[in-house]
Amino acid sequence: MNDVAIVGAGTTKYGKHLDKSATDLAQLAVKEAIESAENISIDDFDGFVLSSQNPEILQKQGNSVNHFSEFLGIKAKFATRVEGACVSGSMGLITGYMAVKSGLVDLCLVVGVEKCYELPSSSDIMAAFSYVIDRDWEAAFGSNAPMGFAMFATRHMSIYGTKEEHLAMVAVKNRKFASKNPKAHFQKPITIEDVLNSRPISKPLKLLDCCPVSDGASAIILTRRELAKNYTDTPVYIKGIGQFLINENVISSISDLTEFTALKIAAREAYKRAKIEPKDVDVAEVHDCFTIAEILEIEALGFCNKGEGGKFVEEGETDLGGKIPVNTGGGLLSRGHPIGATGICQAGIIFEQLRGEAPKGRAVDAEIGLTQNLGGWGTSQAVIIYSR
Amino acid sequence: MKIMEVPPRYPNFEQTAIKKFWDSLKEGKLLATKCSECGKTEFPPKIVCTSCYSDKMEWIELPKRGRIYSFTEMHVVPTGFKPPLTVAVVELENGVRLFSYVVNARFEDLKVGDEVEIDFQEMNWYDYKKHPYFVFRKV
Ligand SMILES: [Zn+2]
Repeated sequence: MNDVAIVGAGTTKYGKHLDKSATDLAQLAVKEAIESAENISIDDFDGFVLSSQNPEILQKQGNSVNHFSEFLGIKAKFATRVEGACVSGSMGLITGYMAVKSGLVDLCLVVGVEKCYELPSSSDIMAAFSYVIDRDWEAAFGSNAPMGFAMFATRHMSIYGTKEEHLAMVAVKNRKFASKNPKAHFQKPITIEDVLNSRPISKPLKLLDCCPVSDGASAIILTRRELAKNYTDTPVYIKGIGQFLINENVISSISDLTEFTALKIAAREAYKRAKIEPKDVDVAEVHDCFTIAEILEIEALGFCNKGEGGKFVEEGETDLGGKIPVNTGGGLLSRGHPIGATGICQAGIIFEQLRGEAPKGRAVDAEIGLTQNLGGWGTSQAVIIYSR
Repeated sequence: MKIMEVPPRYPNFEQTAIKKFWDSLKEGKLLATKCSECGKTEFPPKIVCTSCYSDKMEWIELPKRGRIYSFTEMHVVPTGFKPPLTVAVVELENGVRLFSYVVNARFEDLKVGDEVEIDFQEMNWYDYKKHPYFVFRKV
């Protein structure tokens, strides 16, 4: 089986792109990815994976792989579209990884894209995303993403004494990193008071505990180790992957609302395959769709003990100079969350870190990086481990 | 005119395989399915057991009391709903967990472990008709 390398990465700025379509955004991300490598033209790809959560509803456009191929100018002997709600991006990366690892393709383009600001209002966008929630047993109550993560927050706070201030510290740290990332949706630094004083969304979560809805696209280029040097002197290798899906999709079915059980399993698998332990990870991009999620994730990934995530953040262990800098790209909270693109953007940020290309203020001297991406109420999880 | 709301769907309450569940709500009874081979109780109800895959499922009535397992109060909801809405996951006396509205309490009135009872009321459903459903009432 082939070792798999990343040789290129690109992303659009995340935010409101009122003047660009989903395919425009995808083109711009792919252009940057191709230009980040050497000797690659669009004709060189023989694999194409598209991660997009919701074009059928946001754009009223089906047949995604064909549709995007027209605008990307791509031909491929293996092409597929991947959808798994918010973990679509990492599922796409893992699909591309498998295609390269098995020898099915030599050079694979993985593109994630979501274009939300076509619908007239934010409640229309929220209604569109409520499709991901079980229609009969949950969404009928007006449920939406903040509701489910707030359930985790309430329970974690009740059992472990995690405080609203701990949640706010996650938002403040990630915004600080985003202030050094010109591609981030929000770049203006915020304070703990800003977070605590922001309006309630789903109590105890407030506006600044929640990631924004964003437009954007990100792309990654995968090839096998033997070919990587044709495209770059500094490839980054995928050392191990771990994915886990657990049959607890309805919020009342989740066996433990103080942890991401599926992530503990996915992480164990990824560490085993990469032959490393949590303490070996130098930098991590995790799925902070809500501040509470980052706390549950650093616990489930084994960076700190269960129940101690809030304290770990408070002690600065997830900041630069701490045990494990987390979300140096700004996280979903500040960088933004164009659903299908997020996992792919995370990989691009680790690619940048491991190549020593991250700017001052968010650069980590890293040998090993990790990305974690989730779907549903954290019940579908993907972990990818990378090395220089 | 709203351009988009949570899109309607039209579950057929008259022909569904779990018609008995919906019918029982009208009589103030809350049912779940229980596998007669391995004993697993399923909620939402299912026609095949997700554990042993037997199709010998029987209906059981769920207890009417439980405790708050977790809760939140939604202030931003999709088009068509009116905030704030207090919702909870409740663990019944037999361990089954349910999700619904808490109709008589706000976020600040609740804590994990509070006792609630099951009540029934008409709710707007996706087909824009009213259907009876279960809700929670803080005791
Ligand atoms: Zn059974």
